[in-house]
Amino acid sequence: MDAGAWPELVQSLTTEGWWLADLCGVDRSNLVNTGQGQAAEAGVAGEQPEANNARPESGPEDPTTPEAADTPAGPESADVSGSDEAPADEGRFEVVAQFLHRDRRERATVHVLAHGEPPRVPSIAELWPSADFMEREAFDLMGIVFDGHPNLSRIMLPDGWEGHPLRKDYGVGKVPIEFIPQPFLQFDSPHQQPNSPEAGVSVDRLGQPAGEPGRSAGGLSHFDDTKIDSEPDPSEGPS
Amino acid sequence: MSRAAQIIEDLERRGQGAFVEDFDENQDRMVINMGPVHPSTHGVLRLLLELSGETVIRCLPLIGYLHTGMEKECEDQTWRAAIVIVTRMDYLAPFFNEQVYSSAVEELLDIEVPPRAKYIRTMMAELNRIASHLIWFGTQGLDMGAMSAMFYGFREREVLIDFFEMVTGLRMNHGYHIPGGVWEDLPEGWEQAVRNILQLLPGRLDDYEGLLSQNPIFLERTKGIGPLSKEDALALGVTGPLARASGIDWDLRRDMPYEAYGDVSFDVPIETEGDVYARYLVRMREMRESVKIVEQLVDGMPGGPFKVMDPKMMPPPRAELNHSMEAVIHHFKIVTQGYTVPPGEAYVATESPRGELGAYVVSDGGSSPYRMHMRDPSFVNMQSLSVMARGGLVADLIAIIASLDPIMGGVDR
Repeated sequence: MDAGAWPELVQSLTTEGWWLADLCGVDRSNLVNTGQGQAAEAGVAGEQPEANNARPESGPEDPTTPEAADTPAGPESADVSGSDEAPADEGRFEVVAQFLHRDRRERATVHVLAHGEPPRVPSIAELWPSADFMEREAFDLMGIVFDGHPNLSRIMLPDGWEGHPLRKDYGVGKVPIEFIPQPFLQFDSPHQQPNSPEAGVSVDRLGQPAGEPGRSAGGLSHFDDTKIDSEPDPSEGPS
Repeated sequence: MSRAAQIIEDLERRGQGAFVEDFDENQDRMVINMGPVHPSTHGVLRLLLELSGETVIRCLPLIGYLHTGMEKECEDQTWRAAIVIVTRMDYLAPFFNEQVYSSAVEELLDIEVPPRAKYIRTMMAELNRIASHLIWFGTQGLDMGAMSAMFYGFREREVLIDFFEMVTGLRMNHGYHIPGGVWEDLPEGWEQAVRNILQLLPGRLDDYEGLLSQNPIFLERTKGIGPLSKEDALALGVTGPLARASGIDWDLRRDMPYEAYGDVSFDVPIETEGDVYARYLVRMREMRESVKIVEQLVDGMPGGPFKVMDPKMMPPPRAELNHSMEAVIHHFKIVTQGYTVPPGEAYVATESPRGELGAYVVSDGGSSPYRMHMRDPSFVNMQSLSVMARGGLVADLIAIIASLDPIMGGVDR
């Protein structure tokens, strides 16, 4: 389906009792170019074979929403998916959301096309607080921009990371593994000068946090005023 | 707007800026980091806390310290080899990761695994659930000051891990469930080993409950702590024992049965308080239910093949390789090139010890996943921490993290 109507669809789904289970981004560039994406899309748009859940899959769309009515009709084209209508070059990115209806015990998949570069999709974090992290993850790893998200920042990777690793043009192993010894604490941004005007507040007043990790991953310390930049420690173990 | 939505919005609207903005007006506030190397954060979870005295005003989880790009790595593996990566995501519940990924691939392949494979998978998963809950029991007890809980929890887990080692050859990250069944049949003597475990566990669980359930210190630190209402739990996407402790009567094993869960009977424990103690009760009873499930599975274990005997996707038995050149070639091709999976996508969800574990798999018709996404319950549940921690004490936060039972390998993937 088209990105513009996405929040309204979610709204109508929510009132119908659907629960947002999952949301992720997909880079369909290779799929679309080979033409297999279309086949996949068509297969997906119908009901999914229920090897696992043994429940019929049905479409989530509310018949009252216009975009649902616009999708190609047919009893089994339950899924709202617009990529077959869109030109191939515009259908590169997609947000795939999974919904669950607990009373009907049904699952539904919604594909939302994201157009442009960076691809943009309206955020649904206001409707579903659970979408907050999921959208940040899709932004971080896939580079899909969610308009209206309260804090669209990287969640997995360091703030200064370049590129979005799950994109198909980002090769596996592109970033070599480096083990460079770093100083234990390193302040490297002008914002981190204590009492600097733009920092607004000094490092000292925040209190050097007890347990502030000298060994934390670089850039992941989001705290602007006390940014600590050092290498991640590979020996961080499980709980 | 629900309370959860308000808190999340307040936190996320300004990001970390929210912590600094009001600073001058609120001289008594203090911003500190908890983690990522902190014994009570269960791995490398980092929390940014705004405190007023000992009261938590805001709590923002910062994650990503264990991110290793597993979803991307899967795209570089054959369908079968991706199991090795998938199993390392939620490292305390490896069987669940393998199971959900295998189920998704099987759905794409449109194959049905033999009944014995289903039973084996379900049995291993339920034993794994007990093992995972035992770790939770140990850490929850340890964080509340009950050191002995840690020793006892790990002691019983060791028994289970020994059984996993007996079956799969590995203590963790087994790679045992594969698309099409399980890697090897159960070894000789498995039944006695499982029955020994089943005989041992109920008594030991009684001991645990005797240790903690009525312990006044434990009650003081868990009852009414970290409440999460049913509405908030739904809005935040919380699943699993957390949701069931908040009164959401939902368990995928019972409500949308998969594998062999349709053949067994069990209860789904529900509590309505939504506090740390309710989560404790739910998990303790879940372990007993798992024992019941495994008992029924052992009794009803069917014979027959333990994997799909399709030569297109399964290498020949090891014994044949010793005398058949064809088998060697066949084996080599399957291992190096793998098999192809028809184009399509599948989302399969199972009930892991932490909630709804979903695998979303896209195939372009090639021999490796085009896109593999895991909906990890730890990741989604993590957002509820901000809601549960607000207004509590720092000491309560420790209890809440333990009751959340986050596995950072699953959160960061």
